[in-house]
Amino acid sequence: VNAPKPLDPSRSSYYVNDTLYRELIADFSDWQNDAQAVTDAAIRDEFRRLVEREARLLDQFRYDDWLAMYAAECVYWVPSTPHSGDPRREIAVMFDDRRRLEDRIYRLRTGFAWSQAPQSRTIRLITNVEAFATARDDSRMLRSNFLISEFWDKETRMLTGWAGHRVVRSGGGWKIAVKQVNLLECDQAIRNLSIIL
Amino acid sequence: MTSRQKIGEPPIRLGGTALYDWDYLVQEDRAHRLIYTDREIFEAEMTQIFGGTWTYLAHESEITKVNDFITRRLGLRPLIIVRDAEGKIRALYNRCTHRGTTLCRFDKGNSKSFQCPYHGWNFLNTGRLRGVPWPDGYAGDMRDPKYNLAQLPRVESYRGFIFGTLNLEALPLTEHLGAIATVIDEWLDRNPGGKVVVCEANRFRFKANWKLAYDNSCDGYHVAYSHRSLLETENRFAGENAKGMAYYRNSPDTQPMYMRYNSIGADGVRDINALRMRTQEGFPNFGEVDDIANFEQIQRGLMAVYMHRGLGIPDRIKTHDDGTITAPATDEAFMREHFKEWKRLMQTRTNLAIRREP
Repeated sequence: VNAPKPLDPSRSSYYVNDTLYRELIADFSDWQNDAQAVTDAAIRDEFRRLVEREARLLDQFRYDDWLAMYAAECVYWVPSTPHSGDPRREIAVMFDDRRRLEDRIYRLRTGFAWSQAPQSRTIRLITNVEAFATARDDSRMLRSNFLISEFWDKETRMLTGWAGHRVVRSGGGWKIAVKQVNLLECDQAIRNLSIIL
Repeated sequence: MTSRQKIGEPPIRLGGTALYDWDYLVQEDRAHRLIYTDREIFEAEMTQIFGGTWTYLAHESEITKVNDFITRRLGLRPLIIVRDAEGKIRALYNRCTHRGTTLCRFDKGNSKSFQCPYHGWNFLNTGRLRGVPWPDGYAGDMRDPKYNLAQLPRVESYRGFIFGTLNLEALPLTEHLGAIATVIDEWLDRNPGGKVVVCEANRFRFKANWKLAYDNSCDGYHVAYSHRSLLETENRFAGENAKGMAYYRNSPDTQPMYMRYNSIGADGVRDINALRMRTQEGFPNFGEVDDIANFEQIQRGLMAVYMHRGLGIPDRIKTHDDGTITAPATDEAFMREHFKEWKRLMQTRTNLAIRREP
C-alpha cells in the first residue's frame, strides 16, 4: 500500500546512471571559455543573486528553501581531485543525488549528528561570479569563488574553493541541476567536513 | 648485495630498564590515558609499531608503470614508494642524504631520478646517488654507499597491497597476515580475475591519538548511539527496503555479523564499480564525521579507557583453530587483542635496520 512511487527522486536513485555520469563529465569539461561568457550585466546579476541567496540560506540553515532552489533530479558533487575528475572512477568527498541530499538534511535535523552538535556557525563570501552559455538554450554554467568561515568547537577555520553550478530554466527562473564544489584541499585529509558546502 | 645499517640502539629509550611499567599501563580490562597522551610513548610507537611490524604503504595500482612513484609515510618517516627502472618496488626515505631536505615534494609522478631542490644532489630511483654538482670539492669518494638513500630493508606485497617494515626478523608478510588473508581473498575474489585499482580515497584527519581510530575499528557497541542520526535516517522509510545499517535496529549481540561476499560477473562490474563508490561515500559523510567528533572529545576527556565489555562472561568469546577470535559485535574483545599485541610490540627488542644500495 505504501510502496514508493516509481521514479520519485526523493526515494530512489534511478537517475544516477551512465547517461547522467556521461553528461556530467561533458558539462563540467572545458566550459569556462571567454567566447561563451555572459557579458550582459543584468543577466550576470541575476545569477549573482542566485548564488548569493544560496549562500545565505545555507548560513541560516534554511534547508527546505535551499533544496527548493534545486531541480528535482539534481546532483551535489564535491570531487576528491582538483579539476573535476570522473565520479565513475574516482571516489568523491561527497556525491549526492536528491535522495541522499534529503538524507543529509534529515540526518542533520535528528539532533544526534554529533559532528554538528552544537551546530557550526558559518559565513560564506561568494565572489567572482561568472556565467557561461552552453550548447543548450535552457542551461547556463556559473562559476563562483567561495570562502566559508566555519566556527565549530571553539575554533574558526576557512574552507575555500570555487563552485560550478549548472542551472536550468524553470518557469520564469532558474533551478540548480548540478553544484560542483571544488575545495582547495579536496585531495587531502580533511577534518570533520559535516556542513553542506 | 646490499648494505644494512642499524638504527641507533633500538628500541631507543626502552632498552635496559623499562621506561614504563607496561603491565600497569595496559591491563586486561583497561588502558591508562598515558598511552594516548605521552610524547615519549608516541615516539616509541613510531619505532616499535610503525617500523617494528608490517605496515600497509600503498597499492600496486598506484605505481603501475616503471619509474612511477607516490609519496607516503611510515609513521612519521617520509617515503617515496617507487617502481624502479627494473620494475622492483622500493620504499626510499624521502630525504636527501646531504642535509636531510625533503627530496620529492609531489604526491605522485613518474621519474627515473630525484634531484634535491636544495643543492642538486641527484639520486636514481633505486636510491643510488647518481651525482652531485662539482664533486671535485669533496676529498672523499662520493660513491660511498652511505650517500645512497636509505630505504626500507623489507617491502613485500600481498595481492597488490604493498607492506613495509624495518624489522629484519619480522615474519614473512603472508605468515604475518595469517587468517586475515582469507578475508582479504574473499573481498578481492568477488570479481574473479578482475583488477583492483585505487580510486582516490575519503581521507580524514582528527586532533586525537591515532589509536582511537583502531579502538573504534571493530566496535559494534558504539554504533547504535554514535550513529543514531545515520540509523534514524536509514530507517525513516523502515520496512520498504532494509539497508546495511538496519542490522543495528535489533540487538546486535544476538545476530552473527560475519558477511560473506559473492563474486560478480564481468557484465556487472562497470555499473557496480560506480555504485560501490557512491555507497562508500555514504558512511564517511554520515557516520565518520560523528566518530571524529567523539575521538576528539575522548582525547580531551581522557582518563582510563575501559575495554572490558564481554570480558568474564562464560562462552561468549571463542578462539578458533586458525587463531581467529569471535565475539558478539559489541564486545571489546578486538580492543583487548589490539592492546595485547601493542604491549608485546612495545616491549620487544626488535632488530630494526635501514638498507642502502651498495
